[in-house]
Amino acid sequence: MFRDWGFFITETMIGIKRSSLMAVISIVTVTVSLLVFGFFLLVTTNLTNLADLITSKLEIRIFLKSSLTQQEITQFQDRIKRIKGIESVKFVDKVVAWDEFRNQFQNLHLDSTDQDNPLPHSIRISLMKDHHILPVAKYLRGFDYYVDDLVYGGEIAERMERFSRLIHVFGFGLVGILGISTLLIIVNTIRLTVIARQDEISVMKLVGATNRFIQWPFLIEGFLIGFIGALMSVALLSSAYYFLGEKIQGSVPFFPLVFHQSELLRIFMIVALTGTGIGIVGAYISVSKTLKHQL
Amino acid sequence: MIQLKNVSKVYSNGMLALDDINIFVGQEEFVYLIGPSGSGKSTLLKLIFMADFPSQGEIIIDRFILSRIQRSQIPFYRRNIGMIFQDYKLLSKRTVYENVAFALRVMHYPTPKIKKQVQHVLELVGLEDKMHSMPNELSGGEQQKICIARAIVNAPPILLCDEPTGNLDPDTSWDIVQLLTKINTRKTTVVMATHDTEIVDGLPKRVIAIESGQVKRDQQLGGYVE
Ligand SMILES: Nc1ncnc2c1ncn2[C@@H]1O[C@H](COP(=O)(O)OP(=O)(O)OP(=O)(O)O)[C@@H](O)[C@H]1O
Ligand SMILES: [Mg+2]
Repeated sequence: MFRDWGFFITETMIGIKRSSLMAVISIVTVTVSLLVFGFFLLVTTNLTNLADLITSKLEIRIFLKSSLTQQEITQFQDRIKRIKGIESVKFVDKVVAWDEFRNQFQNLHLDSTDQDNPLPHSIRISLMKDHHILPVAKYLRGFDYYVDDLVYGGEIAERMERFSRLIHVFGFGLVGILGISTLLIIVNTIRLTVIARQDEISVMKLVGATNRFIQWPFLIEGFLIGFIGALMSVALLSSAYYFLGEKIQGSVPFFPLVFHQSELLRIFMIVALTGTGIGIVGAYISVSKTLKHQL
Repeated sequence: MIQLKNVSKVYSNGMLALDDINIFVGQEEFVYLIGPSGSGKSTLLKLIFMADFPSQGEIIIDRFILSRIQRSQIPFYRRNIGMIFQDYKLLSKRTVYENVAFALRVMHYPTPKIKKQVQHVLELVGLEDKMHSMPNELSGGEQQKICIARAIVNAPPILLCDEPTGNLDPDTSWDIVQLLTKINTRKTTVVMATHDTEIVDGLPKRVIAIESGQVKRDQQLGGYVE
């Protein structure tokens, strides 16, 4: 098998040369489709990141029933700590809370009044990144022996979640359509090379070539088309992203754009692999379709 | 060894091209397959080459029972059979060397061995100095010789020829037939479908005559007509 590679690669080059215009068109198509694909990945990643960031800043505040003993409160805290995704559980004594409150709102002159402390003991819970606040909050509300009231950024959290789900669905739908149309274009390009080389294929069959042997040059061609298209789109995407990214950070410094090397690398890898994969699969579909009917 | 047992072929349009054919050709024989146009000669060769399948009957070639060969295995079977066509079926955009080497490439031969064997077989057909020519720079006879060279380059035990002299003048035709006999003496079974009276009568061999898809005559050292 190994010694055939030189031959396959020469054959591929001959094939591309004979239908070079079509190859260029396919490469451009792959590039454009992957650009849109990559753009969507970047947008979804950033939106998800934003959503996570916002949700992770949210915390749950439980106001405890005043009837609880200190021991019961500790028990309940231990209980909460065992829930998955909990990062920290902090008990806030009502005295401390009241002090804080008065400090914060000195303009109300609460110090001067003989007002009793109206606040209950409370527990402040923050969640680990990537954990959704909603189910945890709902779960905690169930402990009505301990919980007098519970507040969290429920509205915002729910909205963010719905929004990122929508983006995902829409993005994947678009990506799917793009993927299929790119695939079809590659299938057709390769089919043209297959047709252009029909005579050679039948001669190859006459001298005893297996379908697999005949397929290789076409698969390599598909691979090259996908790969070159992928490289071009990744190059364009990454430079555009960094360029625009810096502009955005310049004007909105706190906007949490994703600039993690590993995260971006992952996205670009997905784009590159998708392009290459589509190239190979497209070539395989069109060449095996043609070969199937030939003896 | 070529054996056909009760072989019939009906084409999808209902044409009965072969009608209950029984033939046995032993190892290293040389056979002329003659008959008028449309009698079924090409069909018979096609079935042996597995370019098509019989509607009925069994074909056995050496150790192969053709009906038991799966589609995906046909290429491997074909490597045991050289096939020569009236229209050569050469690759017009490749050199003579590449055309012949193609058959070995397909069988995963290493390049040095390909070089050696192509050189050898081109010498055998007398075209070693045209190695780097393109097919359209050659005469019909020369092209046919390249086709022969390609068919025998991996020394298959059987060589099928479908009217190999069909387009050639008498002298060149003789040249080709001489070459085929030479290959035959090198332990290759040769079956040659032909219309060429001169050759069949001038170089008598076993003759199998078919007419309307049936064997009409099977004669050692027979002539074109009875
Ligand atoms: N693919 C096909 N489909 C339908 N009929 C066919 C097909 N190939 C051949 N035939 C018919 O089968 C019969 C035998 O054809 P075949 O080509 O075997 O004849 P032949 O003896 O080789 O003739 P020739 O000497 O002209 O080459 C003919 O009547 C032909 O029309
Ligand atoms: Mg014929």
